[in-house]
Amino acid sequence: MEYTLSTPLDKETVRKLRIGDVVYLNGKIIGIRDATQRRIVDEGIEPPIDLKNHVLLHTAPNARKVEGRWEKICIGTTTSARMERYTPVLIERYGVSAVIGKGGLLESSLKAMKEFGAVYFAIVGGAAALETLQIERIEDVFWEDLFPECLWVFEVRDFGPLTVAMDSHGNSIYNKILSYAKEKAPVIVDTLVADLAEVFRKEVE
Amino acid sequence: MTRLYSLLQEVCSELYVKALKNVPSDVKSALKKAYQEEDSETGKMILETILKNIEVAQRHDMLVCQDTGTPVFYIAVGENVDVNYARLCDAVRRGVSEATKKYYLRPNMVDPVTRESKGDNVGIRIPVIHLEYEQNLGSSIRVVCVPKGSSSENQSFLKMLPPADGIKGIVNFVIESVIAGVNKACPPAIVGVGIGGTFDECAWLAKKAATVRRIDSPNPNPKIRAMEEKLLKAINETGIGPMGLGGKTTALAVNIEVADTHISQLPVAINTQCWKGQRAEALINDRLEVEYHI
Repeated sequence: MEYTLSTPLDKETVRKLRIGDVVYLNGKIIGIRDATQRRIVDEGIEPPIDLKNHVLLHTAPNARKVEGRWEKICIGTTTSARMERYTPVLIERYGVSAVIGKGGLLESSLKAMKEFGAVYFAIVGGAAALETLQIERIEDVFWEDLFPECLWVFEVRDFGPLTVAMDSHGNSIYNKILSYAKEKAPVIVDTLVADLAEVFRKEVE
Repeated sequence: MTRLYSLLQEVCSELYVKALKNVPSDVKSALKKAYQEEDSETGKMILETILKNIEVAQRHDMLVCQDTGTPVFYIAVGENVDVNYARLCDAVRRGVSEATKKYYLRPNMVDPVTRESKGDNVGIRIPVIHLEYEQNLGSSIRVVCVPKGSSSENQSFLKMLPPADGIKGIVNFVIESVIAGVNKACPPAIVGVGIGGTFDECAWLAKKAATVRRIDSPNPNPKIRAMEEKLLKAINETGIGPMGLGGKTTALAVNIEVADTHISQLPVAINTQCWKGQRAEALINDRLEVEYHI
């Protein structure tokens, strides 16, 4: 299924989404990263805005402040695996509905997504030129002392394509793909070894 | 001679930003081919988005990706080139600092322990500079800039295998490493493999294979070339696919570089490079004329 959705996302919408669905977003999304989450989760400082039903983006923006206004230079997405420790807290305590990132999150996040209703959207990593254009503007910036790891509020238009890679029903594309790869690996290796034994025995043209 | 070093500074600055704004021609061709051949619907959509992103970056003169990487330079000199190593390194450092400020590149480089940034992508032993000699260069200098993104660099592996593990040990370690990490390296990836040498040389060979070497230039040794082809096919059978979301394009290429090793060693290293394959090259001749290649 393909959806165009407006943020924030209510729990009913989130529960509808299944792995493999493609989503484009309109509205506000919140940019966070390592230092932002350390402040909220480890230091216990309340976020400057209500995160309930909001969509988070794991980002490392390249931006500059010109005459008091923030201008985007290049905004892309960072690897999510580092955020595994914080994500369940953000979902459970602050009611976050979705996280956009790359490379996926792990079991504790998947469990929280199922229990409280949240999803993980996989963006196309490295496609930052496109992403920067889909971000219409930087609407607000909190905790500027953490730059570039501030809490960013972006206004986005047709932001995507995003693939639902982890849903609120306990499914993860990453788990499916990796267990298939691991299961197949011994056969792949054995075939390869047999092939190469042949190559290294004889001369090849 | 002073002019050579100011020219080198300018060339390094240009190469750094050119590598970030463009995707090399060989990598672009491989991505287009992968898009044609990918069966997975999600995989095809991702490859289409990647191709669109490359075009958009070019049209709007933007960076392809936000990660401006660790600045790494490979500099090769011909036999008739006489360079001062200290001045050469200084020129590279100045070039990187200049580009970072001029083009507002994200400063990535920090002290490894205190995590403090100096703000211009220059620091202790940074940029990384590899100086080598290439026989066919004569009186020219070849400068290749390969800014290395962090997602793919974090997916690096090295093992000192016992020689008895042989070919099976090598391929098993490559496949195992790819399954362990390639989905976080922004695949379809370029997989660089170093075989032999020492601990340090092996890691550099893997890095050189993944970044400096083009992906349309197979290893000249036919046996190693066969290993590259068969490993690529095997990696793509894992089904990990673009962005790790499934499909048959997990890797665009496998490049292998080898060095002789000690009788009691078999080092194997793997370094992955993301789909951008960022690389920009310049050739400087003895009349100080510069030719850029991307």
